[in-house]
Amino acid sequence: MPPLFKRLFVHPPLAPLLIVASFVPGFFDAANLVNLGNQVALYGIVVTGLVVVMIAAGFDLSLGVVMAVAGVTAMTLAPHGLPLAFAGALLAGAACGLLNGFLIAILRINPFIASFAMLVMLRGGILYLTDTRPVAFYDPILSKIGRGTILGVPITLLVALAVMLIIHVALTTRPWGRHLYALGSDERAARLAGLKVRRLKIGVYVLCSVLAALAGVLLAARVSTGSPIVGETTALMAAAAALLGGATLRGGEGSVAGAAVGLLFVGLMVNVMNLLVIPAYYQRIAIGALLILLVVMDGLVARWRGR
Amino acid sequence: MSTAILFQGDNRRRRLDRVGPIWIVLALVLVAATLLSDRFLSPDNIVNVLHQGAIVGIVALGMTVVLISGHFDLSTGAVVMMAAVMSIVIGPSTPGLTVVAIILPLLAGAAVGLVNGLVVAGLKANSIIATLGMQFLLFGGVLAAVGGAHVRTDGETEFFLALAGGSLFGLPMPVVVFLGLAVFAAVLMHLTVYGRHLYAIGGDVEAARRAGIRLVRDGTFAFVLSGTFAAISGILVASRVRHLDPTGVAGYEFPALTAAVLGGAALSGGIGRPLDTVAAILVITIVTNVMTLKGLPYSSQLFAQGLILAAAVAYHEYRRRES
Amino acid sequence: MKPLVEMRDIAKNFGGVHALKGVDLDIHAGEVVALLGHNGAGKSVLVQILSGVFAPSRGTIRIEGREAYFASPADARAAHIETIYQTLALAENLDAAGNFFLGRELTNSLGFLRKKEMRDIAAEAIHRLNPNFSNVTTPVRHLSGGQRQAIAIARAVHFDARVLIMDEPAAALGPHETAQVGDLIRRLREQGLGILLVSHDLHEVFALADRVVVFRNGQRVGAARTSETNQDAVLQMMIAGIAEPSAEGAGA
Repeated sequence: MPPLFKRLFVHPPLAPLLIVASFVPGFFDAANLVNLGNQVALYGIVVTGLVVVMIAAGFDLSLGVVMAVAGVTAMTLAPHGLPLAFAGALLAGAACGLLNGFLIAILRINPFIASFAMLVMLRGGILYLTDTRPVAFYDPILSKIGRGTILGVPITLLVALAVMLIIHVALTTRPWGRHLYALGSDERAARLAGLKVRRLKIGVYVLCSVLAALAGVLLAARVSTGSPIVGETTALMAAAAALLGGATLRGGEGSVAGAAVGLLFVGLMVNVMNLLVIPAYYQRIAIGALLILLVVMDGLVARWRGR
Repeated sequence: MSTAILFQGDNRRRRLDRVGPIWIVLALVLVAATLLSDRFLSPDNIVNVLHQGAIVGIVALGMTVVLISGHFDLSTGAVVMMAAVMSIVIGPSTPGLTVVAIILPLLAGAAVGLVNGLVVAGLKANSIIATLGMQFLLFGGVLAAVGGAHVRTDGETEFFLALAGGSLFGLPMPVVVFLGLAVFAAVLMHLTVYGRHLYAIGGDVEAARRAGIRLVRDGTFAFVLSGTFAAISGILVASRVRHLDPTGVAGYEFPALTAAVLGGAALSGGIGRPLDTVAAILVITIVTNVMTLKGLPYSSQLFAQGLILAAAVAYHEYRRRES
Repeated sequence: MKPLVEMRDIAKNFGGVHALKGVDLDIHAGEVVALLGHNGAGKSVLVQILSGVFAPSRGTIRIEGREAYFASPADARAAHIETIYQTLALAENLDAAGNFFLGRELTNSLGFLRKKEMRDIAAEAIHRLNPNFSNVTTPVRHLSGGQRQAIAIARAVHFDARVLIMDEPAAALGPHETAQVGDLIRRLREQGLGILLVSHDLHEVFALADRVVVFRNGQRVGAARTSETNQDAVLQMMIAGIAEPSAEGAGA
């Protein structure tokens, strides 16, 4: 089966889903497409970060909370100037990534558990600091960034595309990219080849959290509110998209292109379900089942490959 | 390299391992709690602590068993929610239905455990993501079934009341159930062949397989146990109230995991003791209780729990690597 | 003649375990030294110290007369010491060229990978060892043991190695490929490399090595020129040898 065909029609069945979507009333409405674009954009940024981490054989469950932290930070700092808001939010994200990296690369804690603990700590922390109340602040420029379009394309989508392009280039044309794939594939071989394993690992977690923070800021900009409760389901949705796109839990595999296909699939799925007015809770059932299926397949593929 | 050298440095550590450092931590925490709050030792509060601890503790016991077998079960929070809702909805008020209100949620919990077990132990899927996916699924399923609303019941039968408010030797029923299950789990893990199998599977899968241990069957049963325990917890939660907000009883898997790890269960499997988990659960419950008594909001308790988990994992994994 | 590598009084402790208790080893240019001993004798630990995986707890290493400290495998490579590990240390998801240049990729002035160049160089280097090898772009996962070995060896040889460490080189090879490896080792010796061969195969050792050094329980218990001894005597040293005093006995 030629790879392109496989990519679009089988794993995941993106093209068939697209065909189904085109029959759903309201799909091609401008409002819906912009909405879809915004959704896909935010997930695109987050999933790209997750895929980079997964290539290096890691995982990050805390991305959703980092979005919340970044959103709150941005909105709290926005009255003092936009550059400060952006910088503060991204720095907060970097700090979270450093913590994750410390737990995982230095203390050598299982990435799932470490990021799970971070998830809870950060959620508790941000809820405490905001007293569970969202931080609202309206700034016209920020709002334009969050909701605006250029030539009909949402600005957030443009940002996402830029991010994905940069990461894609870095992964495929810089030594760093190769080092990540080697690290994820065989950590010992990477170390013996002289690669700075700990530094690489910490780096990917910082990158992932910074990207999540960026998504969080854009989300907050869109609704002019930094909410401490966003991102509850983000990590799992991103995981589904990453797995769909060819990243594996064992590491050493994955690509930005794959991630794009994966998140388009998930985004379309959710969009179609919304258009068909399928209640949110049923959507959860669908995503949960999908995730289990993907994880099973991931396990089967890993075993077939002898890892 | 003689064996004498290998054991020399270990003797002192082994003696500590025998007791389990968590019990010392528990003693310290108890002392600290009495010093920090004069309301801590009031009978009402003690009962409250024991009761809260019991509910989470039952889930933690199941989590410990699964951890020992080398996996994680993060779906238990949703199982608790599911069992609680089922129990209330089926209606403990009609005498004939009381038994059903208890049996059906138990079976449902076991069924979820069965699916989890087959997926993880049978199909070798990553247990964290798979059970998180199950959590997602169940969460959506339960809320879809009740239409997102709260559930209520009109009254309870005597049996249910006994379950909730009854006591044995002065301890609330849920605590009795918890201790009973703790003994059961301890006996299972330390004194039965099955327990030894689970330690073996968690410690070294290949060695266990070559020793002829039925990995899929034994591994799956660990999940069934975990699911059933979570269901028991859910039923106990439901027995106390007439009116339940489903989302309010989600999330037990996190303190349960924290307790299991704090009690010494290794993330990689093969290590852990149910009784140590009991001590750990008490530690966590006391800590959150003191925080509540001091007026600190729930969010700060979440933060504390996350910190405890991270610290516990770091400590245990660090020590394990040292030896 | 001054040795390429002089290791003096090398000791290594892991917690309470004394893996190496003070050993000496010399490797001269143009000679093959075989390191023999049972599992746990300390051979791999010594190899790992020389290849920079970890630092010794005690002792000194001199490379071409100058004292050397290796903080990482990259430092050892920089000192022209290349190692071929028993497990080959190849990343399965990368292709032959990717593994060949792992950690020392060729980049242009802007820092981008010079992929075509790396592919060509790798292909040529590997081809010299294994003329049947053409697939530089297939992921290593899909290659045979012999092909993987070729990549590992070609990689070690290509980067101007002066000292080559080979850990059980013929362990996973068939007779034909083993003969090829033997030829390669002889060629490299003629070119003036110093080769440290770790092996438990006495035939291989006597066929290829100039000198044999025997380790037991973390200590050096014997050494001899292969031309002046036989397999039985060496076996005896492996089983029952007594530790030699260090320093003077190094160059047997």
